[in-house]
Amino acid sequence: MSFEKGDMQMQDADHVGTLIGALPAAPLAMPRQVLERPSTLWSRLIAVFGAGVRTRRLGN
Amino acid sequence: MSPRQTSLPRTWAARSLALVLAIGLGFAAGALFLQYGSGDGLQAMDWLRSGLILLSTFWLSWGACQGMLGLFSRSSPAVIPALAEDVPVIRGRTAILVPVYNEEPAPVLARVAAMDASLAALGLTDKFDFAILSDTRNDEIAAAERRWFLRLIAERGAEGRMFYRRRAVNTGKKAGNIEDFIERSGAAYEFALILDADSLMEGGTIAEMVRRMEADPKLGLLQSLPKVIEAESRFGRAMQFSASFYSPIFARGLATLQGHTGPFWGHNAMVRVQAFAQSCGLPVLAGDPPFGGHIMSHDYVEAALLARSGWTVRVDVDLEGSFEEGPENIIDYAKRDRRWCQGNLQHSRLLMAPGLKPWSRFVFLQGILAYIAPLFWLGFITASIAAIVLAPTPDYFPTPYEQLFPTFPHNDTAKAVELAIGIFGLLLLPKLLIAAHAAWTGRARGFGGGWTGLRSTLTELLFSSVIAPVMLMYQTRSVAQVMFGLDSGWPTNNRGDGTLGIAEAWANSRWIALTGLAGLLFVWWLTPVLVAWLLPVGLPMLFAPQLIAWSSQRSGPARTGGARLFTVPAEIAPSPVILAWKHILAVWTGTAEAEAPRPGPAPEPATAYA
Repeated sequence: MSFEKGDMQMQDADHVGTLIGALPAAPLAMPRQVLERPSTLWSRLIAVFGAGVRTRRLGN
Repeated sequence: MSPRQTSLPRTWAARSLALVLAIGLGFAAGALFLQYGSGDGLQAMDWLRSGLILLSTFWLSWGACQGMLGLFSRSSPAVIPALAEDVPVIRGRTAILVPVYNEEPAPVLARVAAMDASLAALGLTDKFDFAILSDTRNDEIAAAERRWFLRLIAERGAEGRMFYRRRAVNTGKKAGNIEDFIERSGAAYEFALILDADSLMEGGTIAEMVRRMEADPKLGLLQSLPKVIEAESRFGRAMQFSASFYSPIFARGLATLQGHTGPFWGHNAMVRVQAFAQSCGLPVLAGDPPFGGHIMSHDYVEAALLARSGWTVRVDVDLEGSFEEGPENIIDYAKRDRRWCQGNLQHSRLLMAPGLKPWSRFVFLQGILAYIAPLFWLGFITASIAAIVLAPTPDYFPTPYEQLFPTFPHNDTAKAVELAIGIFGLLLLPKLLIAAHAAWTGRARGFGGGWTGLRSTLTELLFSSVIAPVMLMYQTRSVAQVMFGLDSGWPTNNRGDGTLGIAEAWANSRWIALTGLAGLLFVWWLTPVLVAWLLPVGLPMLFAPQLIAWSSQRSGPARTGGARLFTVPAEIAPSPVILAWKHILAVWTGTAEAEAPRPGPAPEPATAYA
């Protein structure tokens, strides 16, 4: 990909908090990946275990 | 095409060999223990202990196999296809990303200045931009970051190629920080070098990584092997030696096993931005931390996702000139380990993630085992104590009407000794062989010579054995905390001088000392003869505060005028970028310029090949 320094634009600093320097405004999407199957025995077991622990106020 | 792309059968052969050996040795150890336990008849406790020995030995053997593979696999560098002569060495633009989080700004930005100078010496600054990606929550530190950044730009003349951005909200921690950059500016760059705040890399190494990425269009991520530098404490220097002396060999073993599905350790690695954006958008896991929420150990997951999308992920052990810093004391190490433990155990949610390569799943499993396996040893020790309580009274006359003389239980102590020798062998042999290999090949010269290398190896073995029970206790607590739903959060890494007084060490480890004391007293009450056997575990626990405080002190110079214990190559012949960093930092922070080490007149690019 070619991108010359002249193409750089100042970003809207409000979005990023604080900005020094003209970061290139060149968005690139990062689609969310699927990592969990909708529901499995394993995920249910973990969910049940986590819920049990939290109910007993041992966690968090 | 890189030779690594054509070596799938070799990869599978290496994996199969290592796995078969590790499983075989695990079963052999379990069977040997059963024989030993059968002397007075097999009890349920014997089966339990045999199972725990089997699992522990499997894990030890797997690590030992990696070391052996590293020793015996090809040590030649990766063969990189030459680019056409009329094509510039580097074509694509690279963003060098420096995420910071409540770090002391001057050392971090001095590293950036040193890396920029190193690239400038190669005439490559126009191909690289630096982005300081701050997630700092402390406003005072953030103000200091801005001041030092302005000085950095002024001194390096870097306006337009160095940027500073601080997020208003640090969603997703480090992974979210990188992701935010890519979503805003990623399309401007072909590659991104992801660093940590304490990372330092030679310009020549960075350029070589770009070249390798350009030479292999399927390469999505290239990981370098960072060496630990600047350690001053006894603990830190032992870790630094270990990372320089053993890690390259173990990493070469890992590289043999990985195939296209290599590791990502979160920093000192280069990614192809398009591949990373396309594959590595991390979801937020359902539920609350520690098992739900944002993915904590994101690097392993990103490596797995790149591999899932068909990209090659590789560690090139031959890349020199890549550095990081490590914890200076056991407490800081344990804090970092607590975070890694939570991140690795969280991966249990992803073991069955759709579409992952089998090796990626195995890597997740390895990460989980790394924290669970020490519990097997703890379980074995506990079960061995319980076995004494539960042992049946020996029956000397099992057939009272048919025998004249008593039948004594078989004494199978020899089998227990064989087992112990085997386990110690698995622990010690790879490291001793690495020392012998280093002396044989001349690699030990970088570590002060063959004698100093051996002395350092033996001292490291002794030191790591002594602190092992303390580490075991911290790991056990970490696993228990995660299992009971306690979130570690994202504590700031302590960098710099980590000297601890005895009071601070006591405050952080008294629970270990008291557990050790209670354990020894209990066993003494139960059966005094067993106390002697438990002393190697009990004593380090009992004296954990003293051990932690002592090991955090700065280690002294060599006493005999020879090479210092735990000498590493970065001390004998520091890389130019390290010297440049120290010089810049000394000037910035007002240390007398004469005391500051100076870089050579024209910094040499790092040797790309070991």
